[in-house]
Amino acid sequence: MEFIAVSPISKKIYKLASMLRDMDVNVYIYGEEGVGKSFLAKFISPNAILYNDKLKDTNQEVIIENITHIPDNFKRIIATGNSPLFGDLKDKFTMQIELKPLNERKEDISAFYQLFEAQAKQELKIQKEIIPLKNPKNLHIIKQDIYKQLLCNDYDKNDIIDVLKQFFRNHYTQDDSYNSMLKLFDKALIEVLLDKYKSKLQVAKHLKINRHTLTKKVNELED
Amino acid sequence: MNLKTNLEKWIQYDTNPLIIFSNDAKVLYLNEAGEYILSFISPKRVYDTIIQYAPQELGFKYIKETFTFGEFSYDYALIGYDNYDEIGVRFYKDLHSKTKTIDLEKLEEINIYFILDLARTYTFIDKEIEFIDIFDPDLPDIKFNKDILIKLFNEIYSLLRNNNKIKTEVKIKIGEYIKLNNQKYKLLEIILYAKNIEKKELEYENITIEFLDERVVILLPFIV
Repeated sequence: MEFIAVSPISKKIYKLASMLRDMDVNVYIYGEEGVGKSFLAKFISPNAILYNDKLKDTNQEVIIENITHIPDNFKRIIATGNSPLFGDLKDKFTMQIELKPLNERKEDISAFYQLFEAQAKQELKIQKEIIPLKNPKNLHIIKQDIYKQLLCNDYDKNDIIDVLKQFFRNHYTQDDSYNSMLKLFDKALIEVLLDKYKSKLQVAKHLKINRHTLTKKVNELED
Repeated sequence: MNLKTNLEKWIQYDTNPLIIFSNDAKVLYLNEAGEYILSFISPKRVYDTIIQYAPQELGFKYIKETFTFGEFSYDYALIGYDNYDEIGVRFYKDLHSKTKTIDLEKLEEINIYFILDLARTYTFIDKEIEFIDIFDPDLPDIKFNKDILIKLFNEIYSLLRNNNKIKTEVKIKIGEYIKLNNQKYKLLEIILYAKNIEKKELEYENITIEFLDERVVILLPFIV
């Protein structure tokens, strides 16, 4: 298991988690969604299994996600949740570790991209350069972004039509007009070409439309 | 009054400890209960405590205070002197105190330095602190409940968060003992020195925690 620890706080979490591997004490990990709680739980107790109601063998190390109560006296419990514990539930755990949001450990983001990118490329057998998001909110967003970038790269026209069909199926409402739907197409095309040719004059020339028409469209898209 | 009874024998066999010190902290007299205490606690520690409460002039004074020396706890003491060369104390034992026990079967082998490092890493996860350690490299692993020890040091270090430097000393305490399950054990003394200490009453079974000026003293049974 590769533990990403570039930021100072993550390095300390790594040290703490490595020490806890040798201590069979109960640990509670909390933080926002997508900060790596389940990964950390598995890192601390690699042999633990995910708890479910039917599990009866208390001689097991278990991981309980989003804990609300302690089910039994298992050998060891590593639990996760969104906020710190208080009262009796807190007393069941020797330590409570907070995993900070990604924006408080920005140094880790690039390393997470590298790790997930390598995993995704191996799985999808697609090689393509990934452009990381500047401020991904959490690890789920990073993974989704990588898969999206890798998959979109190989789309042909039919794939795009399929994607649009799915989008219309899921999101089209009676309030949407033909023009409002066309704006999706305009937005994607104009943004990419502006990025490529830098000036509206050039973009208008390539699209074979009037410069004023292009400016009007750009203004509409910005509204 | 003309008694045939030897009063000194009554004092000798009394369950309340009586200790008379010279003014340079030497023990001049002690009854059996006093002798028992001083087989666990250093005389200097008792002397240093009682002189803080001694009456200013010749005489005797009852002090209603909890005096704790390791596992011994007293509700009050009679401290006094009738000359300037000697000072005496008689402690009144808490009759409700129980014999201390520990379930040896449930103890786990623990490296105290590992526990200290773990507690520090946890408590100061978002803060840089300079640690100075005075450790005895020959200290063996001890037997205790690791969950309790980790929680104890997490809590104590959290009371020292307001410092940039913490000195930690770990050693076996000389001359003091704790009696558990009617067996005498040495004590492991862990002293945390820091300028800013948030004091708090902490209760952990079979562990003594004293908050003193710029240091916290923790005494654990040294069970190996």
